[in-house]
Amino acid sequence: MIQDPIVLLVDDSENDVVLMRIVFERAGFVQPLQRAFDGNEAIAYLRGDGRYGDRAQFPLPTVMLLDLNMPRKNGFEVLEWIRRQPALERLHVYVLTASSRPEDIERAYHLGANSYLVKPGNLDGLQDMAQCLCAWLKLSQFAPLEIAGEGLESARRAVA
Amino acid sequence: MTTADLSLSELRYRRLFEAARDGILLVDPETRQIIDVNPFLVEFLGYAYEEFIGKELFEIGLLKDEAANQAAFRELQADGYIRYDDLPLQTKDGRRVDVEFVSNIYQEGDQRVIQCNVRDITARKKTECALRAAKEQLSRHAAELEATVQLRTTELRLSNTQLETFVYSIAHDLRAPLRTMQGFSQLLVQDHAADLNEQGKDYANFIDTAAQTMDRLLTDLLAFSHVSQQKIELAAVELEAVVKSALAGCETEILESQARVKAISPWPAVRAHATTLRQVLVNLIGNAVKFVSGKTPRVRLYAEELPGGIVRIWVEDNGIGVPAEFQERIFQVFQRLHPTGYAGTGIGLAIVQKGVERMGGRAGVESAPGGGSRFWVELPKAAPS
Repeated sequence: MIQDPIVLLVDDSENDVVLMRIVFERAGFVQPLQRAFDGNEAIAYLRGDGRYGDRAQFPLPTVMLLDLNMPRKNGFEVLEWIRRQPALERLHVYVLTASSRPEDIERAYHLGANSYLVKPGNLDGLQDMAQCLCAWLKLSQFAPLEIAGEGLESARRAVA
Repeated sequence: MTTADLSLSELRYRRLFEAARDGILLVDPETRQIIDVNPFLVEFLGYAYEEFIGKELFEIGLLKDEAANQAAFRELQADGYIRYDDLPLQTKDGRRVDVEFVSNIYQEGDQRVIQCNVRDITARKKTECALRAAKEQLSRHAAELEATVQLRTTELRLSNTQLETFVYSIAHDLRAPLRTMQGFSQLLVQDHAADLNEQGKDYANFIDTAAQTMDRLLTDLLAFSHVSQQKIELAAVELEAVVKSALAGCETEILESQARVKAISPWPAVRAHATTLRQVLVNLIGNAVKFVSGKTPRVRLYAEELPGGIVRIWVEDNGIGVPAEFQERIFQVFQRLHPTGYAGTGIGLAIVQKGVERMGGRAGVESAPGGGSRFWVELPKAAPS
């Protein structure tokens, strides 16, 4: 039983991450937001590669907030990789992006996103979203991920 | 007929026979031999008169072989008439000519005679051939042109898609730093109120407002770009449903302004793109409840059927109106008549006009300052299904 859901924010924008951390804190979220700054980092985090092997410092997330536009490996590719891992079946992935394009929304759901959120353009909107998310996370029942890093496909193979 | 009449008739006939510019042959149906031939045919085929007489048709190159000859004669006996639209013939000196050949059997007293009319269609055939060649060349040219047009259209479509992607990615990238400017300027005010005096707070709020304005400009630009570039397929659209949907989309503005909005039946069906039309109506209704001063906004929506299968949708308001000299300009991108008095980016009507244009219609306004405005959109009526 998860007491405090762990949220992994995957976003390449420093400023957006800072803002998200602030509004989440204000919304009463206890657990600090974990962060990966692009697609490769996100996959490394989930696999526990390198420093991410320290699960005390980098716990496995229950929910991933995933940006779409990132260099090297974008959100769609991360989504594709995640949904190929049976062990990550329980991971909630909410796309969180500035794009409201219908084709992006369709593609995200097609690739298995659990939800699609558009980044609000102002602080108030962001605060509202954080509050909503926190309430939602408290409301939802989650099943914990139980995986060892080697159980997951390597990031490099995912490129082919 | 008297003998005199007969002679006269014979003379007339003979004159026709001699002077005709088509070939005439007379053939004995029993012997199948030629019994008379007119000067034209003599000249045309190059044989002497005597060379015709007593010969069967195939011997002068008409109806090439015996079998064909016999078959033709059988048909002639049976139907009394035979026609060949295009028969090849060879003149005495070996030239190939083409003729139209018609043959009839007549009763002449107690005997029957076959009359054959031979018309030279060589020239006509040549002309037809040339015409056909010209037509083929024309077809080829048309096909080439068509292919070029297709290519250009594809290129254009690609470049339009690229354009939309370009506009989108620019707008997307520009909005990121705006989030930063907006967010942190507000955090400054909220979390560091103690460190800021009134002026400091004002400065921070200016940054906030400017960032939000720019963000709205960008989203509107994106919306305009989308309406301009997206693939639009026209279909029959039930106006009533779209109007209802548009009104629902303006619910917030209508409630906030306490506007009284009436949509009046009947609503015919139009040929349009439902999503675009909804956007157009949302923008018009939004404007109608916004640009009002010192009174409760009252809006009337209705459709008018015009001759020529056009439907005019009217959005009437009791607002501030538009002076005549600006009535065209307001439909342009980023044109705002009242930048200080009323919020907006000046793109709403540009989207209306572009959207309506892409659906093959027109938009306009009738208005006088202070006397309200009557915005209209014209679309073709949907063909009855």
